[in-house]
Amino acid sequence: MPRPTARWRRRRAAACLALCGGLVLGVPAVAAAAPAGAAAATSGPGRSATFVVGNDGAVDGLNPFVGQTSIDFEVYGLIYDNLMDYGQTNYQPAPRLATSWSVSANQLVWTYHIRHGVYWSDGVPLTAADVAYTFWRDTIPNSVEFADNSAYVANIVHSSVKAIGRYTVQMTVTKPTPNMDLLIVPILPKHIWDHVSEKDLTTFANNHPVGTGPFRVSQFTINQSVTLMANPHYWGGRPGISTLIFQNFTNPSAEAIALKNGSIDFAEGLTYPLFNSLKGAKGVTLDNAPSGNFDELSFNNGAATVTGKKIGNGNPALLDINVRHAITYAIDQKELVRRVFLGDAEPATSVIPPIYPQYYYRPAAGTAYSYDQAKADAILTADGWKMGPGGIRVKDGRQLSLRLFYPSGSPTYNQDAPYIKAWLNAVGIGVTVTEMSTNTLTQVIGNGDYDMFIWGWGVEPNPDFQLSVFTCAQRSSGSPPNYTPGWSDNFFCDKRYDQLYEAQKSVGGAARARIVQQMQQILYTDDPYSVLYYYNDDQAYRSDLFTGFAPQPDKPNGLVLFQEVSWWSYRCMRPVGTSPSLTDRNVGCQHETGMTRTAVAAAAGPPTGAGVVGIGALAAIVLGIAGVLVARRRAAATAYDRE
Amino acid sequence: MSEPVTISARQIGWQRRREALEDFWLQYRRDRNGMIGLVILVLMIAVALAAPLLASSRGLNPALATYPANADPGWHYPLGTDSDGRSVLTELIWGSRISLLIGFAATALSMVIGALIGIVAGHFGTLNHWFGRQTDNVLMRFTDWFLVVPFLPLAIVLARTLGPSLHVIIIVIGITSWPGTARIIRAQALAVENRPYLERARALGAGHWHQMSKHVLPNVMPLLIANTILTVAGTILSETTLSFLGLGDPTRASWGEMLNGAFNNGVGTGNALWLIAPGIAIIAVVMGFTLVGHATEAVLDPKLRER
Amino acid sequence: MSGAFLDGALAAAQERRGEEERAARGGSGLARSLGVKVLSAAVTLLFVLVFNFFLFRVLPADPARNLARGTTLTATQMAAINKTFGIGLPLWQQFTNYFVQTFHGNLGISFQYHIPVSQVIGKALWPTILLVGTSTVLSTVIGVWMGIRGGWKHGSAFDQISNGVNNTLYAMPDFWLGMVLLIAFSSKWFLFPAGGMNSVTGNLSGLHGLLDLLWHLTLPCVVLTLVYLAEYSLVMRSSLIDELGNDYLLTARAKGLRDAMVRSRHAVPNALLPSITLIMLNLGFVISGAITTETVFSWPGLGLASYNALNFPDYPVLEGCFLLFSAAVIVANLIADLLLTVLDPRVRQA
Repeated sequence: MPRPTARWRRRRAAACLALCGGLVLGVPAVAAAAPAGAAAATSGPGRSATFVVGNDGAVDGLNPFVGQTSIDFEVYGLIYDNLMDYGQTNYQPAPRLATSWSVSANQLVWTYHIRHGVYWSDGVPLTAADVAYTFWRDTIPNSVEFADNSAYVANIVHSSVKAIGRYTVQMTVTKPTPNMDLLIVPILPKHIWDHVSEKDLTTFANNHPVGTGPFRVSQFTINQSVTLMANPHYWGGRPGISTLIFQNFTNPSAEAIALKNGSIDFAEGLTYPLFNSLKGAKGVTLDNAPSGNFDELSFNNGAATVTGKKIGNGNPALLDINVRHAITYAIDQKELVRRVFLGDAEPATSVIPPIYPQYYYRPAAGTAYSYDQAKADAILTADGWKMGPGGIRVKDGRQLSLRLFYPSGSPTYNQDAPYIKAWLNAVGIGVTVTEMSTNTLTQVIGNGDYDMFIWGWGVEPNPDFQLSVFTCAQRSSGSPPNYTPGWSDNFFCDKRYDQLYEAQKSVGGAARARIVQQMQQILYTDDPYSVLYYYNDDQAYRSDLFTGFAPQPDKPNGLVLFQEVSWWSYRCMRPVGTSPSLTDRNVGCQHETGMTRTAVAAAAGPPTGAGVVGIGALAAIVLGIAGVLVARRRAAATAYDRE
Repeated sequence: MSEPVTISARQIGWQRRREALEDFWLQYRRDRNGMIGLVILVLMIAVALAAPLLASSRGLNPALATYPANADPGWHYPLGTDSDGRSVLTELIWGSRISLLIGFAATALSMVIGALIGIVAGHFGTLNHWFGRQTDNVLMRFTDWFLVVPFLPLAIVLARTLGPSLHVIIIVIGITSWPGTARIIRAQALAVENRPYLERARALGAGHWHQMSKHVLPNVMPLLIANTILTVAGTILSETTLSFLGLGDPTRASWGEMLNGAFNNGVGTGNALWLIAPGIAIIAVVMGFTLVGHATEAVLDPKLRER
Repeated sequence: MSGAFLDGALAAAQERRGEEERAARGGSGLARSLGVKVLSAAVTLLFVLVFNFFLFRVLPADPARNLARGTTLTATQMAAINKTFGIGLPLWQQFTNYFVQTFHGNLGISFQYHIPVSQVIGKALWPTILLVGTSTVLSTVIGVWMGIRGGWKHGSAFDQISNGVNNTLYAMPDFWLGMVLLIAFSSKWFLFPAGGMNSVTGNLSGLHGLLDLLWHLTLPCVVLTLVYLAEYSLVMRSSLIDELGNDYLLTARAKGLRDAMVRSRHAVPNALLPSITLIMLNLGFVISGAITTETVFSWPGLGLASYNALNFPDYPVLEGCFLLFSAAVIVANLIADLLLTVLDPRVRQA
């Protein structure tokens, strides 16, 4: 066998290096072609833009009867239309699939006129039959559909729902229900859902939803993302973007990073510290938007079932209104807002947040609680609670020691808890803090086996549901060992409150607002909840890339997306640099905000230059090492042959 | 001429132990890696014990924190602050207590179970009758099966049922870490069982318990100690993972909980030391235990020397 | 996983090898010992199934609650919904259903997504295999090379440095490393994406799609590779040093073979056995161990599915993942055992 010469060895090494070099240069060259494609997608003219929303959670499924999280409902409102919407400017009813409606003289028979010229995404025209079918299905007694929509359909008589002709629907209610002019119920196609039986309803995946909404689902991958394409024939006008994507991030920090990078255009669900860290980021606008949310410290106000039977092991001290008042005075709401929310919240009064100004409760002068430790001390002392060993008050041989629970999975409850504990300790109340899963806590509450817990609610523009939480009928039912929880997580029960609740269902406007205020006054005085704060929804987005959002309420710090059961911005948003005429004739887009900053090309898709450098460098290193090893082995092999 | 001194068997025993210890120390000292590890550990344990002297525990209470949130290092907070405004250094110092406590407690639990099963299986396995071999078999099948059960899902379920608290974490980690020890101890016990003095003890009528506790146990003890030290490293890492996933005790600021906080509340945005400092502390402690453990192994088992 | 823990597993495997040799010398037959192995793996799997069943029945599960949202559903109605999820039946019936269904591949319905658990797991399987597979190959190659180089010339500068590096990497929590890399290479310098498996925008077909995938794969793969190569390197080094004292190497050197030949043709193949065992054992665990890395990088694999299921809590998915992880470990153990039997000529004689 001819002996390999030194020159041959060198040539082989050279060839190896050439190969490596070629690949190193080739990879970037090929990849560089990619950003061109991506760039066209985001900064091209007209409507070909893609808007990516990052969220700390993914869509669970496309079946509107089984969705549970806010992102689920956000998507349903984009692929399905309701009869009406909450108006962008003032939450008043805005026509959607129903163009007009009227109620009979006795306030019981409602008639809706359905929009003409609307088509389902499979081309079938929408008629009153679909609307009637939807409401007929949603009012089937004791069904999942009914439970899902009960806030809106509770009073509708199942057998009364009928279509009259192609474009009129009529329904009768059991008692006057002003709410019938704001039915946020997704209208479903009869020709699809007629084939889904009750038994199969909860497991029907609905992966190719047929809807009339401004967007249609083009791709859905659980745990990852859902991609929606604009509906070019939408009756309300074609959206200003072509593609809308909701992307899931399990790592909250990564979501903030992605917004800065330009990989996403909107970040929802950022924690407050992360949100604040984005201050000053290039092209990012921060919207510290008040929302309809609040957190409360809930008390065990005498847990009992709907029959009045007492249940659970709540500390009887909490039945004493003085103790509840003392606790409320001992809590520094402003400090919680400052420390836990970094200022992005507002100290609370009662259960309807101030973004609904007609219902928001302002306590009369002199009756408001405040942070007053001395007063809390005084109340407890006057009530007979003497300071005892270990700094815990004692009365009649019982220590004032309470359990505080909160559900896991929230970035703020576990921060609230130590503060509340410290403040209560300071006035002589012992506190043990325990975190538990939401399912466990729900059952614990339902059984009445708690003293206090921290949790929260999201309040819709219609206060009915939130007020119902304090009615006697929403307490637990059933039998031990595990009672069936109702919606009441406080076991408040007051006959006068219940009467007012029934009354507000049958009136509207200013009269209703007055009743709602009265109800909150009862709650404020009796203190079944110590409502802590109304926290904002911090939203951050790339205002250098997109404009034309329609915030709700219609103010600079209104919610841009994830509005209170509304979807205005999605129809009106458009890339920066495009003309407003793209969307300003769309329904609901007369009040959108326009921003005139210039577009910044930030294609974030397949490898950009920097990313290519990264891959190229790694490839070069790996191939270089391989090349060297190969050359050395050859050299060694030949040397061995020589021996 | 001096009087003959009578010393008891017990005193002989203690003298021998002291000599063995001195021997051990002389050899251990020569292992450079082992000394580095020892220094790290001594330092860490000293910090943990001296925590009240080094930093006020009030600094752990977010309700009492007064410093700005996510701040870069400053005079009062040399490592910066977290999103609650607490000094990262204070949390680091006090966190060492929790992390080390969990590490030691979980390891102790794991060791007791592992050693018990290992010795019993090894002892009964060498007996020449069916019952003994079956005991060994069953115990080893049980161990094998435990080896296979993935740690995280088990930890998740237990933490969910029992609630996230300190003792739950300790129990969870303890009952998932013992199989490795059991295996090693059993192997060593088998070797010990074949030694002549054990045969003699049996001939003299020693019962099972006596054999296991007075003969087998002292002889597997060195290996057990080395294994224990190595296991602590693993349990500390396990606690970190559990806390990161949200299964830890949120009311106690262990290093894992610090990392969990940094993950959720802003890294790459605010104070990066909030993420980096606990990580380095964990690396140091785990490395310390690993180095000491390997060095101990090397001294006790001459075959492993000169690594 | 902890070193002591894996030492134990290694000891287990080596012990079985020892028993193998004894059995082989006794002439029990290769086929028979293989058969025994497979049978015992099957028995372990059965135990795991039973354990799995009882473990997840301990937890309070009420998916109907989530759908019902209040008292408007009657108790009978909720029971009917729960039946779809297999809850509420008498325990023995659930048990038999569980076994029959599992053998048919039916792992129940997810509480969160309302689709079959097998679909949820199926979608998450490929990303995990991609991530774990790539990092295993890389960490094996690099780790074994480092171990050989360091062990052969132990005490050298390379050995000392690589030992230091390996000890540090071994002690590092993998999600911490992930977060540090994320900050450095996605936030400070935007070189790699902040999460996910594909870009949601842009052209994803053909070569572009592949490059995009590699771009997203880089950081999580680097993390897993670094964390595991330390172990392989340390073990390879250990076993090579063990071999160094053996006589046959003296013979080889006396024959005049070059150092590198002695190393690669004689010492390494024999020293490789414990490393191979370790790699196979690890493979079983890495699938469940990737849960933290996938969470940090939002990589949509089994780990992420478990993490989401953990937070929901979606017990059927957790149960399914748990089963899969256990099965992976059992199968990996079995393969490691079989591989040893095949590779170790001392066992093959019978």
